[in-house]
Amino acid sequence: MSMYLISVYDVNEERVAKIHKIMKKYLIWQQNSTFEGYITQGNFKKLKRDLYKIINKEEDNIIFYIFNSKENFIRLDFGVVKTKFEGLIIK
Amino acid sequence: MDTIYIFLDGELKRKDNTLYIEPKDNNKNSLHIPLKNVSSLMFFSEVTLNKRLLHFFAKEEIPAYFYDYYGNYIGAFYPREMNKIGLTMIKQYENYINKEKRLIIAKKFVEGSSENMIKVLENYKKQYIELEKIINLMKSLQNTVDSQNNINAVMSIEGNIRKNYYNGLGIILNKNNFSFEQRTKKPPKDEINAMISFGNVILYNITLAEIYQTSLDPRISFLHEPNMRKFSLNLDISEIFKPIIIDRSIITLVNKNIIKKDEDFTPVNEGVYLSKTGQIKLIEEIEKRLETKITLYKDQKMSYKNLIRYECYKLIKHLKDEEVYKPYKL
Repeated sequence: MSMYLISVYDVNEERVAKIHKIMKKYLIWQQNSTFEGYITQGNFKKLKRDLYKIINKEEDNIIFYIFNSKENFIRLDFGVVKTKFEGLIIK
Repeated sequence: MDTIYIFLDGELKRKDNTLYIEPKDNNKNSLHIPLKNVSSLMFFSEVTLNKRLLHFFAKEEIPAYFYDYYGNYIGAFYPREMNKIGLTMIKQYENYINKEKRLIIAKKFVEGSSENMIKVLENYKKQYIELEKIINLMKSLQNTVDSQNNINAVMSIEGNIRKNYYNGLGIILNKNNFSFEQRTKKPPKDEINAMISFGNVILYNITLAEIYQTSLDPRISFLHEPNMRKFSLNLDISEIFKPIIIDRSIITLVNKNIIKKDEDFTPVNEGVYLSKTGQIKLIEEIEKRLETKITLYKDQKMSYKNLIRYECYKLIKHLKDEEVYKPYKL
């Protein structure tokens, strides 16, 4: 079963790029240090494992908001949307 | 699992284990697309790509389909088979070679598809009284399927049911300047035909991507003859879903006046194709429908797309003599 994930992180500057690199393998980049997208249970485990290797548990924090599906919340955008990636049809 | 449709011209690369798109248009942002939750990719625009990217598709087990300017299917990059096991292949082969066993499966596909065709028309029975006659004719044809003893007879009855079904669709779709009389291909002669052709090809390829994830061999089919094409099992399974997914999408687009005759089509000599905007409109509607969740058993919900995969597993169970295959009926 797949779930919808919103992830935000606040990590030391040294590790920002590394975390970004791992995240974008699984989720869709929305804006600086924010990702979202559907993910399977198995891939979520892999993602957590990959992140765990890199973060410093004293300094860094990564938050995952987990939803059953995209329909369970409403997203409002103000200003410019940085990634135009709607409905997985790329125009 | 998602299907990604690419209508953006540009260069594709493998970058940080994502699909990286660098648009030709400098005003557009470049994109990183994660492929972990993707089941297939469809390319409609002009793209350049390299072997390293194909290697990445193979690693993620994603087939990539390519279409020409008019939306005709050109071909696919079909990665090395990963999940195939000998047992399923032998069983599939055995069920094909044995004429009686093959007939049983072929009849099931016809049973499922004709039932779904009837259900689609029945929704409009009250609105259009003429449909009653067509539905009755289809039902009487459907009843003769069971007593046939060879594939060709089953196929011809299926063709007959389908012909009547398209007559029925013609009645429903005769509005907003659209009209539809009979099925024409290569090139499609009118707008409805253009939509049916395009939609069916999309569904065939989505089904093929689902089959790829299972242990079934897409080359051995039961209803269609497998000898002339490379893949044909996807045609068999798609039959069941064509009326529900594609035809219903087309009815919605026409009824709600979303698709416009003068904007969303390009005429070519002796025919007509969907334009880029038309293609996107139809795909959006198809995707919406594929994501719709239905209740299958007591409280088990499943999207139509997962249902296609589930259909493959049911077929495997049938091949292994574990459970008799029952096609999905609305």
